[in-house]
Amino acid sequence: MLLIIVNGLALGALYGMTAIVYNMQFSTSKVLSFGAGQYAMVGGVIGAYVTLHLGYPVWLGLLGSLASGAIFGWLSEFIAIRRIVRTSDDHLWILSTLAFATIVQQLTGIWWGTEPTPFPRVFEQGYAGVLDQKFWLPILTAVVMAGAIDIFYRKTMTGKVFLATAEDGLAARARGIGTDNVRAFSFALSGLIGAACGFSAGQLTFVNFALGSTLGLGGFVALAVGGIGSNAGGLIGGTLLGLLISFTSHFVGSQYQNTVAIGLLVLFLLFRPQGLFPKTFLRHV
Amino acid sequence: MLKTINISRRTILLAGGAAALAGRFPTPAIAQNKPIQLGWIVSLTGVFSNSAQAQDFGAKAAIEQINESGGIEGRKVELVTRDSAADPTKAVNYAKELIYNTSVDAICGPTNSGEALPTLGVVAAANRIHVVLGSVDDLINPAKYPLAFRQINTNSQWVKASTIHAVQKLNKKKVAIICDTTGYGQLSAKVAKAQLQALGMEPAYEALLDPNQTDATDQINAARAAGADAISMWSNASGIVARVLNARGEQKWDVPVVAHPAALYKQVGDLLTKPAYWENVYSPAYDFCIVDQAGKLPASTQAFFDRYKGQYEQFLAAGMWCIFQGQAGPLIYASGVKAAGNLDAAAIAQKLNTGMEVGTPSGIFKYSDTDHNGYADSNLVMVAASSLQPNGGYRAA
Repeated sequence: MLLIIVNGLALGALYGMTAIVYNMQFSTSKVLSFGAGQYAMVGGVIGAYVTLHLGYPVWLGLLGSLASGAIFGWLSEFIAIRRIVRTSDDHLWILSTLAFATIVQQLTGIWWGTEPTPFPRVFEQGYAGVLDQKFWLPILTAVVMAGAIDIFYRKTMTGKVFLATAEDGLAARARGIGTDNVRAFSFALSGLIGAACGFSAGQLTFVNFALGSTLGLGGFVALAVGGIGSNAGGLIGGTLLGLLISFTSHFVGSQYQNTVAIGLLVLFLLFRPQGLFPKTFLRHV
Repeated sequence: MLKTINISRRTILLAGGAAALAGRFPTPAIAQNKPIQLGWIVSLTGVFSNSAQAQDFGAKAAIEQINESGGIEGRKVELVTRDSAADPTKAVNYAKELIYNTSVDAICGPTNSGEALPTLGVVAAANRIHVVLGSVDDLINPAKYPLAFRQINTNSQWVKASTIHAVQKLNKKKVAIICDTTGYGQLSAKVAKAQLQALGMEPAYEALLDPNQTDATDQINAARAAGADAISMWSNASGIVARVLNARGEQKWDVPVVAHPAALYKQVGDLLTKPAYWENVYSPAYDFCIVDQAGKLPASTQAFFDRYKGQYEQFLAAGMWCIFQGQAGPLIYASGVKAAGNLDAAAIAQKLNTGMEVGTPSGIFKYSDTDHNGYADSNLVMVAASSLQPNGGYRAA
């Protein structure tokens, strides 16, 4: 039973990190990018490429993975978001982000291949059951990431600029903040977070060009459960989803795990569309 | 003033008869020499691309060899390739395009059952010979699709050979069935259960795994708790196969696994945490890839590899049988046309149905009016996954 719980927590951490990616992008652009899961896929592929194919050490693989995520994130904003949000009030970004994510996934499939491939062990460790790094690495990464983002928002000037843009983009622009640059930076940062998620997931999920779609859906459910705008909510939503999937697989059958995930999304959209921890902004008047 | 022309029924019948006769007049030489076009729907990209690219290499090699030996009835053969990207909708659209726009003479492929199933009706409606590369049993039905023939073994043949190996050769009494949740996996679960029941046994445990499931330890422990002494695993997703084998190894439960040939793929071996987890895993392979005591491949297989040295090696990761399976389709069609002496689909099917032996590098096919599968059980040989040789061959288990 402990293994089922730990597997659920690890899976939930991946969904939670993807929910954070959604949140960070939404905060500065009001766009829910459908490429959110693809950053993890790209991060995992580049991490495996640098370490297993080029033969560099794992820490260089991590650097390559993070860099690729940041570049992919910035490109997403530049290609699929910037002009769309400027020129159209309609939700055309749904199509543009989906199209860009599909292009990246297809190109990766052509270059890297469509079969799952192995990911290197990050630390020297034999198989250790519930204490194996393939379980605790995603969980640890999610917790560290959530903490670091919180410190970034509260303690740094750039973080405060992020918050100002998220609360009221027009007011922030009026006060001299380059909101376009903030948005681009937030996408690069979210890409980096997604890539870290993919790097930490590699041993659990293998390196797979289809990983982005799975995480994109799971992350969106986690976001809906936790509430848009709340990173802690996203992590908790992801954890609930991961545990639910793991328990469903054990008690009901693996064939029902996607039904459960989508069912949970529908339930929240119907009965608590604001999620468990809706983000509210207080404005002094 | 309009002039009325009276056309009697007799005149129409005479004209019709004349037209019918004209259709039988010798056509100009240029039309006779026009290459025979074979539509080839293959998922070169997408989730099945590894095996499909190997099958594509085999199909092209077969066409090359047919043309080198003078073509079919003196006419060259052309392969008109379309990449369906593992998408059934694309496969159907390409089947229509190949038949109605390109006017191919016959269709080979698609290269997996999920894509092949929806194309059957399209090709049948156009009255073309259809040689299908899919293993799911329900795909081929001579009563419904009399022009469709299978160019590989059926899934039941794989499962039967594996079940017999587990029960009769390895003497196992309680077999657990683990499949994936895809259409193929669910169908295979039923076939595996039926095969066990045919041997007087019930499965000790049954489970379906979602292809995205990250860990199979739960199912392995449940199978162990149910008292299973062997696992029958049916999934063509290398990730799922590797997860089950990893979980079995990590739980130190060394029961034998009989599995879909995907378990033999090199990429499955690469996904295993330890190479030892590939031990005690058996899958059905083919007699043309069995090495002798000295590790040498059969002479015909080696001759093919010698000829295509420097080209075929990249396709071995998906299993050498994919290359040979790809060759079978064009060769089956060529044999049918040669026997019939023309391109008429009904005449070709009639000849193939006589039980004539169609020799291909992947084995001999024999079809009848009621059986368009045609592949003999005796071509299948169980092998141990860990016996993979550097030349791509295996040792018989």
